[in-house]
Amino acid sequence: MIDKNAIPAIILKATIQVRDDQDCLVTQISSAQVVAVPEEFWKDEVKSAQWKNLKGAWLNNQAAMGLKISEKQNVVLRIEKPSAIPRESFLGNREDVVDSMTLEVEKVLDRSDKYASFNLFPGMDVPSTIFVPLQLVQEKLGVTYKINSILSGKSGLQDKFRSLLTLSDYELTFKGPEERTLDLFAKFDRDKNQVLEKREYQGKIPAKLVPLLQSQSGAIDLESVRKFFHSNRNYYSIESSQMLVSPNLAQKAGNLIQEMGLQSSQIMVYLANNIQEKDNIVPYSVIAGIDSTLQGKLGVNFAANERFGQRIWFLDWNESPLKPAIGDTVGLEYFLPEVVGKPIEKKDSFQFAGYIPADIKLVDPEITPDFPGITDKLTLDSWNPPFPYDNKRIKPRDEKYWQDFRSVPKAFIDIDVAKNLWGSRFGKITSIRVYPANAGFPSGFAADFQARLLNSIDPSSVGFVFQDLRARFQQSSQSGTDFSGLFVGFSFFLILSALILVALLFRLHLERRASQVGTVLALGATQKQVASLLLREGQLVAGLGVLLGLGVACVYAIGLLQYLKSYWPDNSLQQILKLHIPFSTLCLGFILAFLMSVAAIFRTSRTLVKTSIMTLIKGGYLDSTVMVSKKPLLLLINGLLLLLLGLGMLFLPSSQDHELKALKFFGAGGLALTSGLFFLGAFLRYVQKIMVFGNGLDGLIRLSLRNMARNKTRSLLTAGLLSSAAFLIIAVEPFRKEADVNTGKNSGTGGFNLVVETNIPVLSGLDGPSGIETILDGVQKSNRGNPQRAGQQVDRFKKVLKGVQVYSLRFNPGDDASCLNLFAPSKPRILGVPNSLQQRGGFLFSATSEAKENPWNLLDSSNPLVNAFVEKNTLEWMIHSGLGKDYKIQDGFGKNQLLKFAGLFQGSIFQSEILIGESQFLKFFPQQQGYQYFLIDAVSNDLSEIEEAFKIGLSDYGAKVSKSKDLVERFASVENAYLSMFQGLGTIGLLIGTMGVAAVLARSVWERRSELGLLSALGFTQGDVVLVMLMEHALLLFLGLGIGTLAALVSVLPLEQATSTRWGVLALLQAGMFFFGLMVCVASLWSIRSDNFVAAMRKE
Amino acid sequence: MTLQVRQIRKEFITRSGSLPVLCGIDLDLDSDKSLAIMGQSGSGKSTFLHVLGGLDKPSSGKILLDGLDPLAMSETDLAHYRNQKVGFVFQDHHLLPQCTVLENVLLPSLLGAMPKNEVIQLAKDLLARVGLENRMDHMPSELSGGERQRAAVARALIMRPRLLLADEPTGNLDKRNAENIMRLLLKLHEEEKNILIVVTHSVDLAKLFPRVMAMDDGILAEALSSN
Repeated sequence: MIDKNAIPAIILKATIQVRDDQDCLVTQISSAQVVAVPEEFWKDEVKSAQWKNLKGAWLNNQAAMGLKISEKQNVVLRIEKPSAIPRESFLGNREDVVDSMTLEVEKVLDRSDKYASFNLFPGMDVPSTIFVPLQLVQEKLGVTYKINSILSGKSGLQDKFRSLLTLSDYELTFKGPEERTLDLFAKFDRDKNQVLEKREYQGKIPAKLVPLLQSQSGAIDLESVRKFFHSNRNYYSIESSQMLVSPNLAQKAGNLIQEMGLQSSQIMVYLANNIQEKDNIVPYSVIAGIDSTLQGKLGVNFAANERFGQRIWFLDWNESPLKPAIGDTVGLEYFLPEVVGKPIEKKDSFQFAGYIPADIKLVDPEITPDFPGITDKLTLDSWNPPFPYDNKRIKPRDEKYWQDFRSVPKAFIDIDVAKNLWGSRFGKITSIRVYPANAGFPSGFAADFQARLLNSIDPSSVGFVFQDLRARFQQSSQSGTDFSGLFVGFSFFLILSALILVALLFRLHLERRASQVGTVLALGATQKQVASLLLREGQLVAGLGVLLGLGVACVYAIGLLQYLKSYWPDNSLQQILKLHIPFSTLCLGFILAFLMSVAAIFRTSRTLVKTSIMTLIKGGYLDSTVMVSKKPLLLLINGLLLLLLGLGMLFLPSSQDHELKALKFFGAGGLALTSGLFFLGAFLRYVQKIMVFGNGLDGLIRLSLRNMARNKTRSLLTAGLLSSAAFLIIAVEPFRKEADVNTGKNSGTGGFNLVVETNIPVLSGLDGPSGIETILDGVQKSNRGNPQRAGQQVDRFKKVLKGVQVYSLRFNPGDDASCLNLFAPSKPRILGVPNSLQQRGGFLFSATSEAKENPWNLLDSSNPLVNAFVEKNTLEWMIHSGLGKDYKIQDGFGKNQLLKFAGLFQGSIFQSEILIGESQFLKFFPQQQGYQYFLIDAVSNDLSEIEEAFKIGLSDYGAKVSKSKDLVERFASVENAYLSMFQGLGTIGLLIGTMGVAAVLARSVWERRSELGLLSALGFTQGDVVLVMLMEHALLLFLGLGIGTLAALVSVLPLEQATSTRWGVLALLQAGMFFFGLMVCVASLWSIRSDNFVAAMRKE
Repeated sequence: MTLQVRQIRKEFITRSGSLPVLCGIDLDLDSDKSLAIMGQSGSGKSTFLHVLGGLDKPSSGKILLDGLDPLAMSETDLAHYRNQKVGFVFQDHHLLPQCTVLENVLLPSLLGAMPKNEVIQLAKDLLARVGLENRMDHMPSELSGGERQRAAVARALIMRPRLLLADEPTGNLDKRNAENIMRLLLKLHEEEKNILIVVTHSVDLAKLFPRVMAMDDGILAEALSSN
């Protein structure tokens, strides 16, 4: 036992159905999790007791809700039947794929029950789970004592586990003469008397072998058989219950044999439908491919004469109708080794090379592995193979051969030829024989060989994987999509805006108190004392403000989470996204915000106290910021340098690193924005020199410009605020996605209307008329108890399915790599694209590694790496790689394989997976059989009918049918949800900016009310006064927004997204922001509209 | 008669009731006449001046300047009236700190229709006439108090107003500067042939005017002659 607390389990995906009294489908969950466990699984005593002797099942709340059922109702479990022999090999069973179990729901586990969320795979959803007693599932599937999972709370059990593995766990047998002897008796010695009576062996042991096994007394007893096997069959045979020994294991065994200095031979046995020589035909014959070792033992040498090409030897049996002369052509007809759809027959010609004596001492029937339905049948006529078989073709001589020789091959070819003809991705040999190097095997050989062979096999190469679930979940929870760089980048502009606002408001506050400060200085206080006083005052306000801000930030975070949850296309976020604000983060936020605010306040108060005392006493405030002392030309040069630096950043080498990309994006934007402010500084100095004169509007504009330039620092701070906000909003917009409304061939949907995913593979795919037949057959089965309804549905669907084209893709399960998955995808789903789809082409590509008329042709290439396609966003944000880059995946043998991203889709349905060519897929994942992903191109308008046809027709396979347009929209909506969050930051920035403008405007009106009164006295109407003020601030607004917009464009234009930017929307956004700011100005000025300026002037 | 004032009354509503400021003032002045009004603080002098200049509205009464009734005008017409017919000089100069002396003088012309070159020339002439020909490109902060007030006088005259109103124009100046400003006002009044009404506390300055009236509790009466 691996660990006393370890729990054996069968955990697999299945379909749970609810069927009505007439056995018609009512509801189903297509991708449910089956957890078959013993009572020890439940650590809760009550549950454990209830589980004992349970004949029903328990559902978790998710499953019960999905099926809309409660306790005491029945569910039907549809599970893929296990099959030792690969179903896509020609000996595989392709007919009986799905097994059913009807179970009563005994209990529904509440959502709060910890077992209800049991899940081995990190993901967004709590899976719909059905818990079933382990023994029930094992019995139903016919896999008693077999499990596919061991759950343990302990780590470091790998070595222990490995030491407990036997060859049978790798589906291998290793049998020598002794084991074969015992096997024979185990099979036939029903009365266990260690003697095989005639009734026990007749028809089961080749008649020609019987005399050889008999003892001198004529009985076939254990000793006589043992003696025969040890003297005539002194070899060990490695075979597989999968019929074909997998290439990986064959290689390990070969290596070991070589290492131990043993002799060996590889054998590939196949079945020919016909052996033909002239008009003579022998049906259903076993053919063996043998290597030189075995050839030597049989006394033949196939490679003696190369010019004859493929050569064949016949077993020399008397009744054979085939009498070729050496050199004659012999035809072999056989089914291709891999079957997709119906088996395909092929014919090959051989040169007849000679006869091998029918000496069963030499040629034994055990050359052919056991195959239920063939080798266990008494007669040829009673064969029940999984391939098309016509027993009418059997003649008495064939039956005679079966009686005399049973599975002894009728013909022999060279092993290499056999491998070439009948080898497949599942294997190229059926057995390996191991012979002793000298006279016999040393004692303890079998145990030693098996131990060494086991030691050489890496369990992961056959799918035994140790998963540290805790580590895996923790690793996956390190979100696949790292937006921290972007958040920091965008927040930087927001923080900048907030700091500018702090500085601006504090400055306005101090300006009002300039005369107080001047008086205090005049009375003898030092600049330091006054600055310190102001700073302390500011600290108090900043401290309170930041505290208040922390509260607002928490509310904002809650709002963001709610926003994400509500915008997410499904409910998966509801359960996993929770507010998490550590106290340390709050402290850090407080300290940083407080320090930055105090720094802004310090700078402002320092400027104030350095102003001349008399100016202060008069209420003035020297505009003594950095720019004041600079000349316009110097400002222009500074601005130009910063702009060049910003533009230069854009030309840095492209990188897939998000942090670097974000740095480039925000660095270039930030520098462009700062340069814009320098240009504005120069502009303000320039407009200061424009003479204020003229008539009407011209004169008023000049006056407005002069007013704007009057308090440059204030104007620059205001413009800085606005530009930061505009940058945030505009810079995000180009990334916003509209789901592609185009559903044509070269769109994100590729012109396909539906996407179907099945839980259980459809072995022959759904392409062509046979696919439609499969669906209609499924419709029939789905209405088992109601033939009338079945007939009606079949008629209905037959019509709508006419003209529907289906492309079937192979599928290797894995993590959803799309943005719908917040967890990091460690092993993305992989699709194998068939040639038919590659030739059809279509879909929208963002980029390809090579320009090709049909980019899909790139999937053919595997030189030196296997080309792969992936959605651009998936690659960038989830996989964190780029076009032309390598990507490591694990193949079906646990080996690392490299892919090269050769094509990037844009806005496609393929956002959750990586696509490779089917041929490559089969090399990487030979164990994945059939098709589970289907693209449906329906010409008919009746899409919902077609959708229903696939749902019902493939219900046993657990089909999930989605409209491709919905899929694309779902992906786009997630991206937009993220972008809206970033734009939310921009909106806050805009609010801050607008608050700044409003504050500046209010201050302007207050401090300039006597000036406004004077203008009234000079004959300016209130309209004129408002117009002057409005123009002054509107221009500032325009320039601020303009600088932000231009800076955003500098950041955005070099990006690919720029090409798909909705410039109209951007212009509207810009106009909207300007209008919003203008409205704030108008609202501020509205308050002074009715003011009596003269009264204000008089008060002064 | 160019300026006719009839029964001008002005009351302020306070918490303790109605407070009369101007109590039925009558005044007639010809176009080239000047007048000094004296009175104690709060006697209603400035209010009367603001009413004459269209900056404030009386409770009742009538004003006619060259036949125009500013009290019957709309807000826009009244602003036009202030711009075209009235020139103001306040106790504080109220020069815009962001504009040069010349630009300050030109401010009222922004609303007019005079050709640009002509108005600039006029402003320069006026500045020359007030003795600021060398200071026209200076900022107000670079001028002395007297110079600022002279600039304000020039600004008041740029539109060649029919009525020049000066509300204690020398209140912030020393005696010498005050006299200079007052003489300047009178000189320009004679040159421009407009009506000049000056409010002042100073008896000495009032003596410079041919006609002096006194305001006492809202009642305007002829004072002693200048002699």
